[in-house]
Amino acid sequence: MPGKILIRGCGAICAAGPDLKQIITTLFAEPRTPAPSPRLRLELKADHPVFAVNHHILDSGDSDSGLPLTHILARIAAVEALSDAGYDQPGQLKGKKVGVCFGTTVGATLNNEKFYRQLKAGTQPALTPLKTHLKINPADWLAREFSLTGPRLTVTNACTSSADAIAIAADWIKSGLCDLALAGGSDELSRITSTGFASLLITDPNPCRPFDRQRAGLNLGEGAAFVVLEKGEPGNRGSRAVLAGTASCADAWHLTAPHPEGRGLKRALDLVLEGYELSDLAFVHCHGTGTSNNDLTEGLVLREKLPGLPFFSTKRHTGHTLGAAGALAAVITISLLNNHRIPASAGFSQSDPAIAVAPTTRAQSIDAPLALSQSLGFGGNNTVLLFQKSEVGR
Amino acid sequence: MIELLTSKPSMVTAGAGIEPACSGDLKTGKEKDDKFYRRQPRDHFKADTSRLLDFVKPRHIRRLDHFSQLALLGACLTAEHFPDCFTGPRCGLIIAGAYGPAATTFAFLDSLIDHGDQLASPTIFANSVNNAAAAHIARHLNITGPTLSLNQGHNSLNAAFACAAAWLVQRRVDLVLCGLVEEINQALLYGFDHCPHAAGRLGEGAVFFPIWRPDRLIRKSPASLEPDAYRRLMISEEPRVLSERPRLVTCNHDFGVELCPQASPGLPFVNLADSLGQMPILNAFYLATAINWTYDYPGITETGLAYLQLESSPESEKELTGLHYSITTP
Repeated sequence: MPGKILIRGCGAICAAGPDLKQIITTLFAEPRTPAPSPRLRLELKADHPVFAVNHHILDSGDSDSGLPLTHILARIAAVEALSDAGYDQPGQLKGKKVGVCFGTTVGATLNNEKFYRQLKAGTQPALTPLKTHLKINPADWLAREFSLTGPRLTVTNACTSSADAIAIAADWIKSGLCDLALAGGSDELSRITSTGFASLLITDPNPCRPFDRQRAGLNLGEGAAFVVLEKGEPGNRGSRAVLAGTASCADAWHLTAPHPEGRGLKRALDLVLEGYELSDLAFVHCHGTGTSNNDLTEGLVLREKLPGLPFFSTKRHTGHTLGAAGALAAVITISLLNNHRIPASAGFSQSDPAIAVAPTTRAQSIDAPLALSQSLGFGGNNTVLLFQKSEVGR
Repeated sequence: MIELLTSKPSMVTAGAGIEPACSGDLKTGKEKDDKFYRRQPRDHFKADTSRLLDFVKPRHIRRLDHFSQLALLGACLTAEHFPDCFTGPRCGLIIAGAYGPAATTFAFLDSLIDHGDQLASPTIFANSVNNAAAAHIARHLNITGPTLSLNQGHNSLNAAFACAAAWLVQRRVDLVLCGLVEEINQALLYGFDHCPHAAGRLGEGAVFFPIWRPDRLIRKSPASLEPDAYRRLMISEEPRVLSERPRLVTCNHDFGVELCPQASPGLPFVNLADSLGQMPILNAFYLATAINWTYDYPGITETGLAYLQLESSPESEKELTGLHYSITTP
């Protein structure tokens, strides 16, 4: 079937802002400082500051409904994405087969601590948390919220979940499984992920410093980001970008660490960039978590595969939003590509001799038509999304 | 309609396994006792993963949780059956189910509750991440293509096949190892015991389907299997009224999938819920059984399986509505 996969609309919410426009503005400002979250009630010796969403911007009605924050954040980002795509009136999608592909980690986990504490204590907890979990599978729930009737999938690929969700949704459309798709991801801060990452000794008690010589780990964050994908011709009015390519490759190496030479990431880049020149690329939005292993691997791969290309991380503004991170990186990449300007890689000040390449240290203009968004995940997943300015045909 | 090629699935089962449920049914064509909605003693079925030692060194199993062991054993059994196939960059991996490694998440909570946040276990946390099982399998079989872990409740089987089909159609991979995995966890046990509609016992297990593109049969490849080793699998993308009665009909409810004998009167059937226990992915075991029938009984060249959606009420509905799986010998 003719046509390319267009990004018709984008939406996002995270600590850096309640919508994509504000998030982009924040990226060019002084970064906020993460702080310990009273909501998490962590009893750890060291501080584990996080990037929490400003809860004043959330609908108070939702927060009282028992709906998980992951779902509330997802709805906010999805509404923005659909509106951005021009689908903001009831019934506009009637008759269309619309897929929903939702990446998450916390949102799909049966992890209600209060319920489990009661169960463990031998009391008889109400079944409500269990029933709620069964009823609000993230993709099914989001499809019901917008009355969407197409394939539904909740992707639980850890930190690459929502990047993979976008890639899968594109394949659905290309394969004829749906007409268009709402794809992305959402994750909230939770005690389990916070204590878990602390136990792995990969959180920084200070604001994270991606790619910096002194980097000491990540700061967790929360948020959601979604895109509306649809088949069409580049340059169509209203399209934000072309999804020019996707690739996902496993390291098959280690449960928690990337392959030291970036085996899977290199292959994913080779696949997605086949047929393109380095000069076609404007920048790489890196995963850039601030952990020693992640940044070393990404840096080494970029030095070898894409020498001289500007790259940066935005985790110092957003925190690591886990299942939402890939989609958040994607919508930021699309916006920056269209704005012709990229920010400094916040948190970076000193080059790491082991990496030998440095991210952007100041905001700069860009001109080339393509940009990459990289996601590396727990379990050795490597997913790369390639976006192209919509007005430029290949 | 999703179209795929498959072959003999591998199953890691609990209790007495698949065979007792299947034996004799096809030959006699008689229905078994109608036990489907009767409560059973609550000695739930835990699956045995000791065979994993045939494939993996003990020191590598030591840190794997039970969910990953179930998944890895299922994957290894398939890889053993198809040597040198399910490996490398042209192979994709999908692990699907309703709950993922929830028991491991609860084990992690145990470490928090019993010892405090400061002493949370990093090993348990690492295994509690939803895609840990896929990572273990990819590493063991050296699968370096795309890997996907998904949680889609009772619809996990179809969601997994839809993604496998999309990968294959887009030529991202040449074949997909597609596994459905479920384990019993404490919250499910509690919920099952307190659910008035829950029947029988809870179960767990893993079933792995080897998947190829439909055009595999016309391609010449040194690694090709003999044509008669394949089965063509056609799956309806969404629930529809079924015009023909399939040989197996199942319906789902809050705690699993059950055979619905009323929907296919006079046809032979099996009741896997009695043998394996209830679980959201029981429809995958029914599908695997239906596929195996086409190998075990040479007279059968076509069989089918219908999966009724929760909204369907087979007792009251005259029309049979659901997803339909058709299995044919090419």
